[in-house]
Amino acid sequence: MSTYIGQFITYAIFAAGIGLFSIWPEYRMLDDNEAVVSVTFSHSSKRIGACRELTQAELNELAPNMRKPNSCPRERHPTYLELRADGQVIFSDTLLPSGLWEDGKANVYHRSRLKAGTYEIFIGMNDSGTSEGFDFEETIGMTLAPGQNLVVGFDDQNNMFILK
Amino acid sequence: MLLALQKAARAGLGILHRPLARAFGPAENPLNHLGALIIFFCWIVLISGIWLLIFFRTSVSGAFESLEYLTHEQWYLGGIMRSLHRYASDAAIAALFVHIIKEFAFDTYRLKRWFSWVTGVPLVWMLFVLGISGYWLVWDELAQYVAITSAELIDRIPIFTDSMAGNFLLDSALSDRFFTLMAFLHLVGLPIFLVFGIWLHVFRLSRPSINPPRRLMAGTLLCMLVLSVVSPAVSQDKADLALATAAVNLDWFYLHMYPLVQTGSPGLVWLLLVGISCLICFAPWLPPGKIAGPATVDLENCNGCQRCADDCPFGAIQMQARTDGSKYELEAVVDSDLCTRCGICVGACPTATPFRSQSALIPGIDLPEISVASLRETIREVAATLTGDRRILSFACSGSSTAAKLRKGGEAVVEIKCMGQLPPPFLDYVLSRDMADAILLTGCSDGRCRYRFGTDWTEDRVLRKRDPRLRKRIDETKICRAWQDLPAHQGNVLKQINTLRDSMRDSPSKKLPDGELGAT
Repeated sequence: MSTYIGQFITYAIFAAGIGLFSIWPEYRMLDDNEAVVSVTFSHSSKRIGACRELTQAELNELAPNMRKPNSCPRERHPTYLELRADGQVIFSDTLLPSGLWEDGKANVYHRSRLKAGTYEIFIGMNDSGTSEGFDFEETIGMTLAPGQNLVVGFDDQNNMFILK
Repeated sequence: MLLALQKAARAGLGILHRPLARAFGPAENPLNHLGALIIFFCWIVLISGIWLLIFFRTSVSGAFESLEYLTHEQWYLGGIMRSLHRYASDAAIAALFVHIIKEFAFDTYRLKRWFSWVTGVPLVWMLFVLGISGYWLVWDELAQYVAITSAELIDRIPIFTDSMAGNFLLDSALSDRFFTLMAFLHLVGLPIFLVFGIWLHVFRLSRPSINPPRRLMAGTLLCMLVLSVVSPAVSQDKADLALATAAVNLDWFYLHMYPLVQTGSPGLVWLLLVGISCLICFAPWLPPGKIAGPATVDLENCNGCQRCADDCPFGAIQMQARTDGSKYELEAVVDSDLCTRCGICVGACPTATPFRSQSALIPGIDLPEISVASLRETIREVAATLTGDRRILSFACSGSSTAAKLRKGGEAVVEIKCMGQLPPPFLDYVLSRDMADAILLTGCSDGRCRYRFGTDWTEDRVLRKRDPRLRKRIDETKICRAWQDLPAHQGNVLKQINTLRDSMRDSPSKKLPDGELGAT
């Protein structure tokens, strides 16, 4: 009898442990009055140098199927990105182009927590390697609700930021 | 450091082992069937998963709704199946952790066993990926959290150009095809690899324990069923990518590393996961490893009886046609890569008899580290120290710490690698040559033998159920078997030997008591 009681207790403890730790304790990532601003996009920055028109002599040296009028450097500039809320920088990063030749797109994915409330959100991007200023920027007044996920992207076709 | 960790792990397991051994007995003690229990849980997951698959819809909106239907509308079957699926998965992970700790604690991952140990590492990864991918399919708030965090982890691998996590920030970026892909991975791709991985894991073991005892299976299944009825698994709120997940009820069995992605960084999590995996993979070769020579065959004395091959727990001995022109048909060949140097083959060899009159005692198969000849000499030396009229000679295997306990208690002890290494003629030798009045055999308990079958085979040989059998002229009741459970309880062996001695004093002609601690 004691054997069965022992087994019953073992199974009960095992089941309780499994049931309990499959849902408890709760893991909290945000406070009740917090929202998230997520910046995520891929972008091709400008090339590090201007394209040059090839001379006829240079073109003649190339195979017929390789004759393009312009020669452009493959490498691209690092992209500087800055996100501000009410003038305070909440995220900034210099994104390197992907690829071995640094000729691919730069990628960004970042999540920032903010207190819920009304903000003037600024997002600026410098992709031309100039020392000052931004090539693209957007400022928008916005009220972030608790638990809201504001996604900041970049539309490469229209060269503008998108905030959803 | 490693030895201290192992000692601590053994002490921890000892706390669990004693009540479990009392409740279930050594044959059905869950701690002795952890690997088989994990496979059994996988069976429950598979069968319940097939039921869920029938009703599951692989689309962004359909995934959540189909599971809600199963949970609430079809609660009596679909809901229970879902809960069984969840809880059996969790139980598999719980058993897996204890399984790893146990193998580490008892140092059963070195030498030939490195293969099972190392192939277990990708199995752990697969089991986790399988479980975590299952949580994606529910597409509730937890799934949203799991999807984003998993994607953040994957993004950290420097081979992807576009951010995967960005796909889980907008509903418009997520397509039904994603669920088809995840369902394929969870339901077909990963399970196939898992089955192959399990096969590989036990590939080098002879007589692998695939199924737990039936009563244990029935009890475990009933336990899971009751839990499913009492506390059914339910979804959290439906995923909404426009909202940031604030809090989730995590399944800590599978997702215990995930909070570290937020509180630390994805890189830190990868460092931990890869670092721990590498450490585990290299553990069999880390000090203090002992590498003695493998068992060696002496063809002049090998009669090709095949008992060593039958008894080897690791399939390290194969029989092949004679190469020496002997009249016998077969000869034993030891694969040194598979040999764990346990000596169980020596215990099975009928030529390993101390009565042989040749000047050199060389059996058909022997261990260079502790040869049969040196064992006979040790027995003579230790037995010579015995005095009085209730002389007990103890044999203890080095896998347990009973030898030290017995010596500390002033007892005469002969230490061997594994109890299975002791050929029964040696017991005959000790008693018939009046070297001792009784013998105590003490080692690991059933299911806990460091070399898997040492105590089982010894028990069967002494009870004349297995070759080489104890000779009939020996009263087997003079051979007390006290198989121990865990080092934490091995103090009991002194009590056992005192009981044996008292019994000899009270009624020397009566049967001696048998071991009361373990498998006898």
